[in-house]
Amino acid sequence: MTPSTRGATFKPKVIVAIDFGTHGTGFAWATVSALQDAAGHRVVVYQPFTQSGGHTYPKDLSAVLVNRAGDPVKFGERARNAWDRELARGNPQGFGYASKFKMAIHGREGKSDIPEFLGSLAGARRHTVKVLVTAMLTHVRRAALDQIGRYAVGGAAYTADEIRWCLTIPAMWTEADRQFMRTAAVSAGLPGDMERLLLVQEPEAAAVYCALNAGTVLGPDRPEGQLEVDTPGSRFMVVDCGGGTVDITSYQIRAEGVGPGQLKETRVADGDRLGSAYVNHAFVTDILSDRFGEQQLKQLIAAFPKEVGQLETEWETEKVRLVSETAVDGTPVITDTVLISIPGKIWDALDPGTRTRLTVLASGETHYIEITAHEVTTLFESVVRPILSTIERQRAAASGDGPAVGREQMLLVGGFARSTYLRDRIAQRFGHEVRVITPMDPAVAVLGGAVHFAYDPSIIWGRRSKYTYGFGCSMPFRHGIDPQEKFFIDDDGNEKCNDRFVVMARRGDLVPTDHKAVNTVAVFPKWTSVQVTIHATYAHDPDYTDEEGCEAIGKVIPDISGSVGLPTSERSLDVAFSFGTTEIEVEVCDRRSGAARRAEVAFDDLYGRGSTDRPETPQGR
Amino acid sequence: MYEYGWNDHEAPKEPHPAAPSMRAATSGQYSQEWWLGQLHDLQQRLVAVESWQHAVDARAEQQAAKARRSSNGSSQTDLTRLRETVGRVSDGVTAMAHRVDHLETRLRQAEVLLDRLRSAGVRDAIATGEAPSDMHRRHSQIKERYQRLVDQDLRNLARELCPADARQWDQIPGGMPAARARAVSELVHMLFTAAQQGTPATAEGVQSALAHRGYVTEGTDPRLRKAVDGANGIVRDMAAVELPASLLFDVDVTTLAEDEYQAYNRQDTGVPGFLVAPAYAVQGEAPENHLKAFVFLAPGEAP
Repeated sequence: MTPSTRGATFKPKVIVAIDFGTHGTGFAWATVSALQDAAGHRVVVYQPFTQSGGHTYPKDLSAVLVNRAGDPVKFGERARNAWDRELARGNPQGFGYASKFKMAIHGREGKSDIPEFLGSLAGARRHTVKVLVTAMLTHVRRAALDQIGRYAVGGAAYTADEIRWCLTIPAMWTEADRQFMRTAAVSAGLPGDMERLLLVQEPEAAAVYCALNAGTVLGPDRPEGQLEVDTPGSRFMVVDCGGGTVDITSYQIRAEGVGPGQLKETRVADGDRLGSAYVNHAFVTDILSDRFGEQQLKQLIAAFPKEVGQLETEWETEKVRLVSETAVDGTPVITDTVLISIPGKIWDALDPGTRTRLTVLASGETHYIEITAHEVTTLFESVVRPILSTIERQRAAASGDGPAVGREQMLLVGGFARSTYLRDRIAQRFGHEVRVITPMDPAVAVLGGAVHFAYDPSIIWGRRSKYTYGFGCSMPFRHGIDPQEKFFIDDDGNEKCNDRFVVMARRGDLVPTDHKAVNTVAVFPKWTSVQVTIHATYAHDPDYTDEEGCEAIGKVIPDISGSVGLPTSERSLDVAFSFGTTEIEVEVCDRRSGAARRAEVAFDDLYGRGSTDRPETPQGR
Repeated sequence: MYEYGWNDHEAPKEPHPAAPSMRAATSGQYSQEWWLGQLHDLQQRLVAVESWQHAVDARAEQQAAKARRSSNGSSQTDLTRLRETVGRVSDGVTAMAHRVDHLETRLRQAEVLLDRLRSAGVRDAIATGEAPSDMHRRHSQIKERYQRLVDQDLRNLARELCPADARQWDQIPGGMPAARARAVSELVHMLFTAAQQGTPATAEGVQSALAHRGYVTEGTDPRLRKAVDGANGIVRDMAAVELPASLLFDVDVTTLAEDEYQAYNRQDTGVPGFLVAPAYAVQGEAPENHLKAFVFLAPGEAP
């Protein structure tokens, strides 16, 4: 580390978060400015992906189509549509199609969605998975840069090197999985260093979103509310109801917290196959099977896979838009029927008896399946009941981690959390003992939260020192370890080593604001002056103050005149480092006389918070 | 005893320690041994200083002799010129340093201005709706409710307003499906046009208007009330989002391209017949991101 490099703290000007999900992938971003520093007023920009009927959603399908050579040619919905077309033609050009391949990174076999590798990608191995993940991230990176570039003013656009990126990852991923993701990200053109590329756990990001954005506290009155993070020791649970799985993670606000929202993960439930996709599955197996007859349904699936897919998609859309009502006893009930239109090709292929029956059921209208309120409730309950049981188990397990402080909270996030029936059932079951909160827009809680997190990681990680800070002094000489040229005999006849580095804060350590570190150094009787030199280095465990990369960043000349002549055992200086918001105050105090002198040097935290369009902080005095 | 001490090279550089104050010297704090030690140190340092002075004298004599041997006029002149050059260079370096400082300051100012300009550009794009932000997300949720209302709630209500056993539907073009779609179209008008101008619809008002138009309104009360509440909630929430949005009633459906509408009767093919429910458009939003208008397709005609 040279003085010039140490001064060049990375201050991002744009934050981009990528939520690479099993089913969908999207990105969102925010500029860094003084106006945006207040999290409550921060505006996040989302990339809309248009879906059927003109609905927009900030995520596209996590899917890739590759050509015969294995090169990615299409992504997302376009990849799926192109694959459907190719498949209908018998795939003569040897394309390959992959979706849900995120699950192949962690490989929780039997517990969650199975990755889909079709065509030339059938039987894909881990290397191929990395290629696909890299391709998907490359695609998203380009889309993000393209979108950000659209808002250039007078040709002045934000550049890639001004961006801090943030990738979301599941809570249960191992260190190897994280490394896999980081490597793929770097291959995709994202930066590799930890200040420019952050990984955040999905439930942590969701928690940040719920702590910063008003949501609804589920209960009879439904007041507005946010995740409360001011009570150290209190617990909350993030229930992420996605397409494929429902992931539950328990957290506790650290008692030794260094600011609002610092979290301690206590328990991760393996995401079970309880996502909204299984309600869709039940729609096919129960409703379509009943309406068309099992045999006819099999024939339809074989002959018109795309059209049967349309039926599923329509149900998927209606399912989350259904509004449940509350019965007198507080039980959520669905009172509406749901109409699903039948594509012409399927209608025409149905036998006359089925068509007549469906027409009667749909009040005389052709081309419709009417699903009764009771049937809709049954479809939901096939997944809702196991979700409630899983939450119950997770709560019971978390209670074994020790007593909680304050009221327990539960966050409902994810696309499936848009379902009012699911929310109301969870509130009905747990609302009397848990504060159940759902954000206004649960579908973007992870993505939006990741932007807020990357804007200021200290929200949940606390401030971490960017450098190892300390001061220089002598220590007992270690024969065979310390270099001989640093050897000397001190005034008391002890063998000593010059230029040892006394660490006061280590790189990457949590450094709470107002944290104070103190060390004491002996002074020989005859000494009338001494100089305390403050050092900083990127090294995690520096031995010497003159080693490569170590830089003197300040000094203090203490007043030791009041203790001259005292024996070494009675003469000492307390060296204290107090870590403020942007600077370290170093105070050196003569223990005997109480005389103290101070100096201040700049403190850099690991992720460089705050905007750049405010006056610079002095770099030390 | 402390593990840490000071570095050897940080020891005081004075030839001898500063004398203690008179108060300290007479306080009894300093022993006789300490004073003797100080005297010994002093003597040693005097010897060292004398030795150093002797060496300096010797070097000075050597330099003087050398100068005498090589002294002439031209070297004196060169030396003077050299000193002048060094002086000028030094002044130049100082001036340059000032200029660099100045430039660095200006550069920082320019960077701050550039940041503000770019940030303002994005803020402007968000405020005008060009950049899809949290405000679009709020509209997106309202759009979903609007679509649900039109596509499910009003469709179901229309089935009650136009029961299958009423034979008069056979007499209008498109038959019962067209009659039900027309009922939805009229309901959407009743529910939204007045509400958008500040007069929320009432269930009684809508029911009366429907009955006046010949629809069967008996037994529709619960569904109708729910639809009215839903529509009024949508209008209220649309107005609450800072970024304005509107329902595009004023449209000639015959001019709409195929990707500019969604068929209300999805199973049919044909050309746009009439508007069932208008598009939901957020200010600044790309047209492809609007919630598209629901259009009844006149069956049997190729698009």
